[in-house]
Parts: sequence; C-alpha cells; structure tokens
Amino acid sequence: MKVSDIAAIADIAREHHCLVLVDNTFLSPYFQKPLTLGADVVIHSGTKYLGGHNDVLSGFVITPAGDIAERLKYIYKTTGSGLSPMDSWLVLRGMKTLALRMEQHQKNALAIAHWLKTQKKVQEVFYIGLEDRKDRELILRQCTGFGGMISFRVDSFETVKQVLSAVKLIRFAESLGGVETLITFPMSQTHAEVPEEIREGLGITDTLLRLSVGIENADDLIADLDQALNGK
Amino acid sequence: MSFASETICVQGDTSERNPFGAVSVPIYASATFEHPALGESTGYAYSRVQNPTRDALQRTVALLEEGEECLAFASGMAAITAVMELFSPGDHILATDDVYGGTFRLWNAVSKKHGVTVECIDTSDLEKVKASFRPETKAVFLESP
Repeated sequence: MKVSDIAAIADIAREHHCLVLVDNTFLSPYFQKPLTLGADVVIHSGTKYLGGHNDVLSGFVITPAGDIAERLKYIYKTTGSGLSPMDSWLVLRGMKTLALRMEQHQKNALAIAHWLKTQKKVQEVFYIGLEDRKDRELILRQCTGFGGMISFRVDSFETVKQVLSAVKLIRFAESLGGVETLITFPMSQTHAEVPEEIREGLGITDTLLRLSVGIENADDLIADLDQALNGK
Repeated sequence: MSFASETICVQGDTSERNPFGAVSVPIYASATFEHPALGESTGYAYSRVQNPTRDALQRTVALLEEGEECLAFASGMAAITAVMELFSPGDHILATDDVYGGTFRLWNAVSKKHGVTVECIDTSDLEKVKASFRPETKAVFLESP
C-alpha cells in the first residue's frame, strides 16, 4: 500500500516528455482525481468501486481532449473491447451511490484498521487512512479520502489458514470495491503473477491478508474477524 | 455549469435530456443504427464504436474524473491493454512495483512480446524515479494505493 506522489512524478515525467498513466481503481474519482494532479491518462477497473456491487465487469480510460484521446479512440474502435449497453447500464445504476458507498467503506475501514492494530496476532496494519503513517502529509495533499482497502500481517501462515476458513460473514473471494466485505490472500491470488523476489520485497508473503471492506455494519465485521482470528 | 461528485454520480451528464423524459438512461440494445440518408447520421452507426447507453456512462465517468474523453471497456484489463497499444517496440515504461498481478502478467506475457519493456520500481521514492528515466522511456505507470 505504497503511495506515490502523482504531482511530483508528473512534473519529472514532463521534463522527460513522458506520459503519466494512473490506475485510480482503489480510491475512485470520489477520493482522488489524478488528471487534476497532472496525470495524462486515468485507468479504472469499473468492476470495483464504480460499479460497486460485484455484479458487472467494466474498465475505463479517461483523458483530456487531444492527441492521446484520439489515438485511444482509434485503438478502441479497431480492437473492439467496448462495454455492452446492458453492462453499461448496470455500471450507471451502481455508480449513482458511489459517494454514499465510499463514505461508508472508509468509515468501516477506519474502524477495522484501528481494531486490527489492537490484536495480538496482528503484526502490521496497512491502511492509508491510519494517522501514524509516515506519508500522511502526501496522502492528505493528494486524496480527499482513504477508501476501503486494508492489508494486514498476521503472526503465522497457520493464522492465515485459520482466518480464511473461519470467516462467516466476510467472503474469501478475489476482487474488491463491492458492497460486500471480501478477504483475499494476495500471495496466491491478486499477486500470484508477480515474481517472488518482487513480492517478497513488497512484503507480500504467506502471512499477509487483504480486506476489501464493504458497507455492512462495522461491529458485525469486527465480530466476524474476532471469531475468525481469536476463535471467539 | 459544473457539479460536485455526489451530484454527477446521480444525475450524470445533465446537458442532454432523454427525448421521452426517461429519468433512468435507457438500454439501447442495438448493434447498428440506421441513417436518414446518404451523408446524414444520427451520430450513431455501430455499437462497437459508439452506443447511446455507453456514451451516457462515459460522459458521467469523464465528468467525475474531470477529464474530457472517456472510453468504457469490457473489463479493467481490456482498458489497460488498449492503453498499452499507445506504445511501440523499443519503448520503455517505468511502473510502480506495487501493481496488480494481472497488470504485471499483461506486461510480462504480452507487452514484452511486442517489444515494450516495463521496468517496475518503487515509485514512492522520487529519487529512484528521477534516476530511472532512459532516452527510450515513454511513460510512467502508477497505481493509486
């Protein structure tokens, strides 16, 4: 969960006549608008927060008007991977509540991140909304909120296996950004394709778990994590 | 007139109203669109290129991101794949090492085959970013946390 300084990198990239491409899926445009920070192209998996309901796949590319936009439109009409009208409608329908959902994702994620920090079996908690992060100033400058994605490191692989099989309300499933809370094991799911040396360097090991915090009641989610982690 | 994100999410692009007054955007399930006459168009011809339902979605997302153009794809990976088509053999791209595994797979399995090199570095380290540009570097790819 590293944070890069989009505006500073855009300044450097401009000196080198390079484009800045930003995948803004995790924060959504509700909490971060990379084009206003100097990015040239914004990319989304709309399957996540924009759609928000784990019921439709989609992707987006957003740019200012100009040469890059025209080239992308040409690639788009030529290669033909546009979203169907029915799926477009599902995303439009889901997106109407983006603001409400993002606020609740964040509220729940903050509560869960703080609770995780008090747990004996939890060694580290990674959430960009935590007040004691070293890059807090950058985060507050760049984003208007923190979203609902948390990673945390537990004491052993045994604990990982225990949590993944014991969660009842929280679903052990890949993806993120939907109304339902999901838990994933990045090492063998989202980041399986990343070579081991890079993964290890990032701390994506067999003791790391990732939560996509949904919009349920935070106390219910914490109770489920508590019984899964501590056998209560 | 510009609106806040909450309003854009609900109302979409308010500059165009449905001719029948529909409040929810209709699903235009039409692959092709007829033309009034030779050289005349409704603005639509074929849904691979443009579709009114998809256009409404694209305009909404463009407004939310404060961009002017938006394209909607069948998946996030389809979107990244299209962006990678901007580059040519010999091009070099600097990317965050904290990237989704699927994106990494695209670079490693497809982009590499097309002669585009993607170098993953710690982009939260600005000095590292500055030192990593090459003459053939064409873009920096970041992922929001």
